[in-house]
Amino acid sequence: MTTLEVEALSAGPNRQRTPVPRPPTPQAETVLTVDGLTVGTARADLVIDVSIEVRAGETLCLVGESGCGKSLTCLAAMGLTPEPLTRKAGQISFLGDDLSRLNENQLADIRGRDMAMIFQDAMAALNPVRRVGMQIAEVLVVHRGLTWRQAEKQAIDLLASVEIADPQSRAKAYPHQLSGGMCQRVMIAMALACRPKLLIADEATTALDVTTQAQILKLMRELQAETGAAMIFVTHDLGVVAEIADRVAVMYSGRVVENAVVDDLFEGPQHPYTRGLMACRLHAASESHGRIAAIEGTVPSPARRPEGCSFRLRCPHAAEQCIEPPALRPVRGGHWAACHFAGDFA
Amino acid sequence: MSGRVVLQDIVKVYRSGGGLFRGKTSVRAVDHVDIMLEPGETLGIVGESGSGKSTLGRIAAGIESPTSGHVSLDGRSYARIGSAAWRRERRGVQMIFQNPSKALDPRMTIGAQIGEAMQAHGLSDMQGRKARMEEMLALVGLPGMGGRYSHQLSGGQQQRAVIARALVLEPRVVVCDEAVSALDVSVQAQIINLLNDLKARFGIGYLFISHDLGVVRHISDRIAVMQKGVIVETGRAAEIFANPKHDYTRSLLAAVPAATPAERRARERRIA
Repeated sequence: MTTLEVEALSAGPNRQRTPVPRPPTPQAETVLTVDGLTVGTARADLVIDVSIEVRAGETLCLVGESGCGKSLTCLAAMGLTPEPLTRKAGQISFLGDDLSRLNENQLADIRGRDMAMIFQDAMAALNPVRRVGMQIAEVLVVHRGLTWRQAEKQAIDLLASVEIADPQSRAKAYPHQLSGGMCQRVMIAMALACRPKLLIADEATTALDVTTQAQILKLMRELQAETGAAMIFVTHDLGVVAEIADRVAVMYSGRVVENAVVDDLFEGPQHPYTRGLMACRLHAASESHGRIAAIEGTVPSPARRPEGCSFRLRCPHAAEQCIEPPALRPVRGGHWAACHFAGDFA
Repeated sequence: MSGRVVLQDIVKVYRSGGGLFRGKTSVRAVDHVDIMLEPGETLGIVGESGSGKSTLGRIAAGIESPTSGHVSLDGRSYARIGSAAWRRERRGVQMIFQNPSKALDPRMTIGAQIGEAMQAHGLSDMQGRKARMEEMLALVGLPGMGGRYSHQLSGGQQQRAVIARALVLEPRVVVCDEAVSALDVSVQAQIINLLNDLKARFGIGYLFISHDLGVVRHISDRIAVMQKGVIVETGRAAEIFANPKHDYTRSLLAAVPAATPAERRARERRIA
């Protein structure tokens, strides 16, 4: 056990913030650290005390159902907390810099150059009235100071690198002339144009067909191996997690409820919510009969979370002590869970 | 038990264009398809976007007419769309769509919408309809919630309301077009369980259209795989997954994400 974990274990109820879960043997450079992030309005918190970290060359998956705060965590990490929400607590440091100390101009310089984001609906994220080659070139003109002619040439190379056939002529296409998978490739090319240190993909493959999804996931893995970028991959699909993650943070109702290396999470999930998600998966590769082990009930609204553990009312293991909010604590090397019974599950 | 839907040699061609700068174009969305849904059976239709599976579903539900071909329910051909006979027939085949918040009327309570469906088909009197509405809501897991508007319900509850509105007419067949695709995984499991319970209780047949192979495998008795308007393979669900015959089915199954990271590594070793 590392000193940090011992520190966390010995920290009594006085400790305010969840420490950042780290792998037992940290190697690569830390790219992004989110420490105790809380985002919300005056009436309700949508992200509560979230601590995550991602290192160069590593992929962190944020998993959870709609409204659990996974996208909002990413937006806040880029300094893009949408109105009327505000960051109420927590620190975000990117390559060692505290993001809250940077002004809007400095942030604009970082975004698109050092950190980039890909969204679910690529077709909507692209400008419909400009050719895709020009849209990629613009990133290079703005951030790298290239001339338009140089930038357009490089845009064609980038389109080739995301495996678009005939990049020369595709660069002249408008988004509506391309398929959904092709638009997502263009978005990836644009995001990678400046070789960012951090790439955030928010449900980037959710809208795609399975075959296209498999291609895009493979492409992203390859490009990451090549560039050594840190990646945060937001998804609700545990299959995608199995495909791409090194580390996983499971979110429920605004909080990280489990954080583990991907193999540990699949082999021995320690939070009842994660266990429920695993149990109700329907996988094409396995036979299944009769009723699925669904998680009963619904996610509570942020304004009406139950007292204590917010999963309490849906949890098959709920007991008296669950009225006390469970802290995210290490179960074993690098595996953290926010449940009073974590560690008891086989 | 009745509820056999037969689609014979269905072709659907969409024409577009003929505008100022463009010539006419036509797309063959469905190209000579024959399928049969047995009474009380769940037939899954899988395929990627643009394969024509939704068009086929709409034709089976009778809300779209094929360019050529023949559709019948229990041996009776579908009437012309818009005719009085067609309106009567709709009771037998209902449809559930992907997005429940768009399928429900935001200005009416869900109870009123279920009542309206019954009224449109002249079922029962006002008192009888109210009792039946309450009964139906309890059956789908929304007891006493008839007074709610759709915005007061979660996504899963909305889809339950849509199911109640479809099933109150006692249809023989329900066409489910991506009926659980927009729902969160935990809720998706609840709705699939509900659809299976209702099938066991009333012997309804489902034409279950989805791009999600895991969901289709779990819910279907038989599966038809569709590609570019053509059904390339049909068979028992377990058989299709265990022993896919067509190249396209194989490529679909190969693209399904691994169940665990260990499985992914095993696959990568096989390829390397």
